[in-house]
Amino acid sequence: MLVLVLVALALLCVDRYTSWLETPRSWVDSAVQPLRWLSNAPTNMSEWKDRNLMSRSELMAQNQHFETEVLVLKGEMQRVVGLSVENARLRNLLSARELLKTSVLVAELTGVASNPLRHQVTINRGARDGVFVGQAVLDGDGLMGQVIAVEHDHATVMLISDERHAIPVQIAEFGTRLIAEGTGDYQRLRLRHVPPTLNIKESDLLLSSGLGGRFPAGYPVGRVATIERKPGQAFVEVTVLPTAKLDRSRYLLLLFTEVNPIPHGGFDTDSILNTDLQNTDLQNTDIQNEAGTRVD
Amino acid sequence: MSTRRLPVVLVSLSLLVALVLSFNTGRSEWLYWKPPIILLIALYWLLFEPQTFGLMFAFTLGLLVDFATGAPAGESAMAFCVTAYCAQTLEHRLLHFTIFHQCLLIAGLVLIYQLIALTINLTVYGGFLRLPQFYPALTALLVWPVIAGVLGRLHRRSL
Repeated sequence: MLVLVLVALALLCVDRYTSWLETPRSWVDSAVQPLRWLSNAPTNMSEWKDRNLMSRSELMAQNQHFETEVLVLKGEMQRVVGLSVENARLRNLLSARELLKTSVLVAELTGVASNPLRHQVTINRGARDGVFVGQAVLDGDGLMGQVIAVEHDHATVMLISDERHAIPVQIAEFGTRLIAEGTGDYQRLRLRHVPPTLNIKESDLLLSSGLGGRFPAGYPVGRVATIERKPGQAFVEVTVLPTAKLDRSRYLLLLFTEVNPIPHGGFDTDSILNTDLQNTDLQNTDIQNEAGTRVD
Repeated sequence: MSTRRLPVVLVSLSLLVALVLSFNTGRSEWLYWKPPIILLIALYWLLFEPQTFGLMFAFTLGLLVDFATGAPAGESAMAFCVTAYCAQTLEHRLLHFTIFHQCLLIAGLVLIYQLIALTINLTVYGGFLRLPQFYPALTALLVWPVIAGVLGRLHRRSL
């Protein structure tokens, strides 16, 4: 036994300080992929049943619901057009050299890490679809996490609630910069080093600040849930409720950010928005049926 | 004893089922309560087929689990191995106990496993030790009779 324990210790060190074990790890990971699929089969099946065995009236009601939703979102989008043009113009005035352009790719959850110590999920997109390590992952409501490992046809995502994870955020209202750490609880993040003098209130919205360069700025991360001011403590204890449904979302969005230089002298408004939409469309056509019909 | 054939199909099937079950998390509120099924199945084979399954088996299985779940390589390997060693020393007594006493001992073994796995996790990644992380020992206590019963029946039939 002693020998095996020593071997295990050696393996731990090797795994910690080198990347030699990545190859066998990815072999095993690919080998157990069918098992992951199998473990998800009951959920998939009930979803398939929900989707395919629906009465006509239910479908029509759902359709109606979607139509209204699309209308509302299109209305919102019109505002976004104006805002992004304005934003580009302002950035130009500030002589910023580049403009961020984003597009998304829809991915489906194929597995969840089996351990409460590791909040990791696997998704059905991999290197084949251009997924890369460090890529930000969202759901419909906010930031979910980042890609930490990519295989050919699947990838592993670490959620923001993982104990090992921390994300730079800012309070939407004043832009105060803070760090939100995972706690191992899907419903709770913790803010680090909040000074007692900071005017932070419950239900304040926190956005990603974009510092550190890993996550793009401006995506909702969570809302302040509780604030505990302990007399005599140097910092206030603040917990945050993530806006993303970390434990429930089945369809995730992978975010691709491109840095485009702002053309000097003026720019074409169409190029800012239309290409953006087209990109999204192209990447999503094959799964539109899957993802498009989903309702929460 | 040596002429007895090993229920290879049953062993591999039980381990596969354990892997599948361990990937399925169900509801997130129950995440902390999930019993370590792979460990329990491995313990069953260690206790009831001790000629074939030893520490090397536990180690290899643990390493596979580490690779499959994205844990630091060697974490479950070491924890499985030490737990298996404890199970081997207990083996002769354990098999003569009533099912209730067996459950208590198994819960103790799971606790040992968790202490090792959690210690490694804390050293490698940092974090906090919380009470819910030990709940699996309790659920293992409840699940063991089922596993021992079902596997035992299939096992006897396959002999």
